[in-house]
Amino acid sequence: MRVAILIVAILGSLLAFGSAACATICAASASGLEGMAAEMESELGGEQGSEELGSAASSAMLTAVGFGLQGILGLVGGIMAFSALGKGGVAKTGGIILLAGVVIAMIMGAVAGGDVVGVIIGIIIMGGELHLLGAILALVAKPKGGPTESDSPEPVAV
Amino acid sequence: MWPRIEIEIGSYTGQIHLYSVLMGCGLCHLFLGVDSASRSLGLNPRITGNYYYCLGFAFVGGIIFSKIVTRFFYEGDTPWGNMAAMPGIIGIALVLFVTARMYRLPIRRYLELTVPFFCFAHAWGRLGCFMAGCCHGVPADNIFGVQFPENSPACTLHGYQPVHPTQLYEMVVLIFLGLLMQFIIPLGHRLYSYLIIYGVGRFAVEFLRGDNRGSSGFLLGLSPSQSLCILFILVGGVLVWWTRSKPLSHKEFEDTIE
Repeated sequence: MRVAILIVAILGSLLAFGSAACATICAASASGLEGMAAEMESELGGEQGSEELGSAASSAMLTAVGFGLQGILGLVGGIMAFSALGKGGVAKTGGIILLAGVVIAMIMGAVAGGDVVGVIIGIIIMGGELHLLGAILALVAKPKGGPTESDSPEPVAV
Repeated sequence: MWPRIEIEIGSYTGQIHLYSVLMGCGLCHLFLGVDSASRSLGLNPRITGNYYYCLGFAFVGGIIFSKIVTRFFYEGDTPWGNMAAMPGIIGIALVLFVTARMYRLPIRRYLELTVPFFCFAHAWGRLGCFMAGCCHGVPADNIFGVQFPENSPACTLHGYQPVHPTQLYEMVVLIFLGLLMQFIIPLGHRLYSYLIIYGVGRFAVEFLRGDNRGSSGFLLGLSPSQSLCILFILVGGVLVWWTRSKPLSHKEFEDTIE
């Protein structure tokens, strides 16, 4: 169980990091185009194009931040769950962190605007489903007998 | 080369990058390998559990360090955000050292356990490079040449002709090194062996690399990575001397055992 949680959390996080990188590139491109559009508008007139590109850039950046947070929280939650189950404890904190990552990414995707359903489907496909699976596994995992926090010795100094 | 899998569901179109997937496989191999090795040695699960946090921080820290530092090593030829393996390894080592100090972990002992699996994780990453088409070699007109697709970085740089699959060469070096570490080289001698053997292997592979190698080599017109290889070999040499004066015996693991 703990191995499965670790694997789905890591793979989900790397997919989320990949999506964050893609969204960042999109945001940077839209931001660059916004500057060009603004220059053209000042020469040729009109004002709608640069505003739309600016809004697209900020949406993409928010989505990228959401994916990045999902990746980091997924990695942290997965390692926490793996470590806690290895110590013979429960992995509820890790499961909640995994779940929180997906929820935060969805909220940021929704706040970013645009095609909200598309963004949420994207978050679920790009690692979200793995993090949700990891969260469920972590929340239902039963600890095997082993040392608990209270009876384990303190870490030794180097 | 198979850089990405395209996904289209309703209004959503996305891509799964195989480099990310293979890096994930490498990271899983690293964690599960360290877990298995620490269990077979009977190390305290609580201390090992804290070490996993350090590994997680080191991985993320190494990526961030590499993204920041790579541009300086490769003297402006590389755009911001690109990553190179060797600055990443240095970043991972630095963050791992700092976090292990914070958790008061016996870092040297755990590093000796980790090194073989780090080699395998790096090998997975090189397979990811092969899939993405980056880190390719110079043109090759022999049986080793691999023809990448027309839109690949190799063909953009060298035209439509076979190139050395330097990603696979390095992957073979890393798998060989990982097996050597896991089955032949005993605990206490793995860290410096890794630094020296990987440094030599990577130095040799660099001569066949055909992508942009940057121009800020510190020594004799060598590439930045070759300069870092020399640094690895020197650090490995220092560790050989240090290990001889302060050997890590199996007995030293005993205070980490439950």
